[in-house]
Amino acid sequence: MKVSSLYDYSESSHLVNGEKIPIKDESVIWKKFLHGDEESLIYIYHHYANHLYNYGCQLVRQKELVTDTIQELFFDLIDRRDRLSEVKSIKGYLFVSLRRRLLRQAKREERMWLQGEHEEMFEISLAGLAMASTSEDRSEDYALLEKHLNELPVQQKEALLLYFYEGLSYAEIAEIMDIKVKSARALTYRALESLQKRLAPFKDTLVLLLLLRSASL
Amino acid sequence: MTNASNDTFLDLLQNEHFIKWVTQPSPESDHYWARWIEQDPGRGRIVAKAKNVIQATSYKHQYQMPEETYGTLLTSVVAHHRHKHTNPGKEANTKKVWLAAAAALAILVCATLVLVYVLPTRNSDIAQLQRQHVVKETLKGQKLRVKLPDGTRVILNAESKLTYEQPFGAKRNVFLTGEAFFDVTRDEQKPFLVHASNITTRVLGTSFNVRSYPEEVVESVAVVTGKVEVSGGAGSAATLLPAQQAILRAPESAIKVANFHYDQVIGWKDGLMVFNNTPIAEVFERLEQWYGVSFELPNGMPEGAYTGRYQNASLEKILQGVGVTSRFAYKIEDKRVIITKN
Repeated sequence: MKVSSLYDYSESSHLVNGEKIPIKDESVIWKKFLHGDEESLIYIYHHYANHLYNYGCQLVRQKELVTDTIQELFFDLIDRRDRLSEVKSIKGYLFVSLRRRLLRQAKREERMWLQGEHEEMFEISLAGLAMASTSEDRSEDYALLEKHLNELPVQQKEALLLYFYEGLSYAEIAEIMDIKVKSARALTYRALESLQKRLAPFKDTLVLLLLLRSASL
Repeated sequence: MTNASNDTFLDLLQNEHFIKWVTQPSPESDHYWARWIEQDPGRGRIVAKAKNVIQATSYKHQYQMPEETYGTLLTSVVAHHRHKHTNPGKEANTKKVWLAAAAALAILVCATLVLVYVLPTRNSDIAQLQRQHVVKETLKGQKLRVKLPDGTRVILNAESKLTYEQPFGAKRNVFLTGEAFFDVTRDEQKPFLVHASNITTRVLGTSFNVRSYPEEVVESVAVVTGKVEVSGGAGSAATLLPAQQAILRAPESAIKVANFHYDQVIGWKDGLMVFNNTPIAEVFERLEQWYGVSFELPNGMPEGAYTGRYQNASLEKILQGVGVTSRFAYKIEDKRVIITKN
């Protein structure tokens, strides 16, 4: 795992999955898009299409459905652009829209579209930490930790991923998951908290202490 | 570690400003957190560890749109946009028609992708967006060295065009018309893909040459070091090892693998020009491209073929050499070369 210094963001940038994307101002891009600018549309597509796809595939098993829904989402954006207002975060807006559409579609289709109890739904990986450690026993610790993280309720896992991985705010997560902001905050908190409890019988130390030690620089 | 610092650690993980700073830093947040850290000598370590945990968390199953789907979808979205642009207010019942149109367009995905990347800018104040799609182009007689965002070095031959995104996305996609030599920086996580008109080259880190001029029937990929995967439009694919090259003679035909002569194929990047029983017409074509001149043949094309090897030679020197064996006289007038058969 790459450990970056605290001060290495000299330019204004946007970290998505560790990739820096210069965002002079996303609201400018959104405004231009609303005014019919094609380059801005392409920008939005390039920066978010794969994120949307990855997120959608966590929710439903049918990848074609995810692709179709992303297409529908972009078509609708274009069609309704005169009526759309400014957004705080393009990513948050797109995620909200994709999730709603997928769930609506899942209800309409009577087949088992949703990953549902399917264990793959929002499974978490801590591979980044395992890579940072050098000794063998550490990777067992991580495997254990990962296992317990993945035993958390799906909602908590989704919230945690949206929070840590997608870098979305509690307000955005609340909108995406269609819950109150307070609940979004509670979900992530409970995920961290129950993780501590679950690992208590296994370890004398708190799980997060384990994380701390192993992830040391 | 004390309980107090553990509390700080947990607090940080729950603080959305902190998460925002880790995932989307800005000069303002950098400043804020730097000051916060300075206030207590123990904070730096805790912050670093909290960052580790946040950055290590990811989806166990990562999904990525297949390359083709990605392109088809973009094409249909742009088509929809253009339709809406020219026919505002009629969108309601035309969706299906445009889905069909988009499907038809999908055949041209590669070409369209390139088109989309280099579409002329309509508005000068979107220069910042242009920076996202970088286009490097050479004219006749030019060569260009390009360094990509990942450190990969590219030498672009004459009359060629290279388009790429800055920064790269999950995959390092570049689009090429013409010829280029690639020395790709190794990154196991991010495959490097060169999209030429019918042939796609996929590597993790290696050096190779791609030739795909629109006026030439044959497209080729030649490998110098490492392992290279190529795939053609017709679904054929091959894995190439050093000293092997893939040749695609037509979009519909299968990729063929053969050996190649290094100097003849790659030499151009080091100023080496090799002719090996090359027909005179082709010799002239290459000289045109290489030196940025145009040949005039008032009494026809000299016959025969030519074998020879020149390193960083002047046009005059080559013409002298070829002229002797192929029996023609030449006159260089600025960018014109006039050939008269003896």
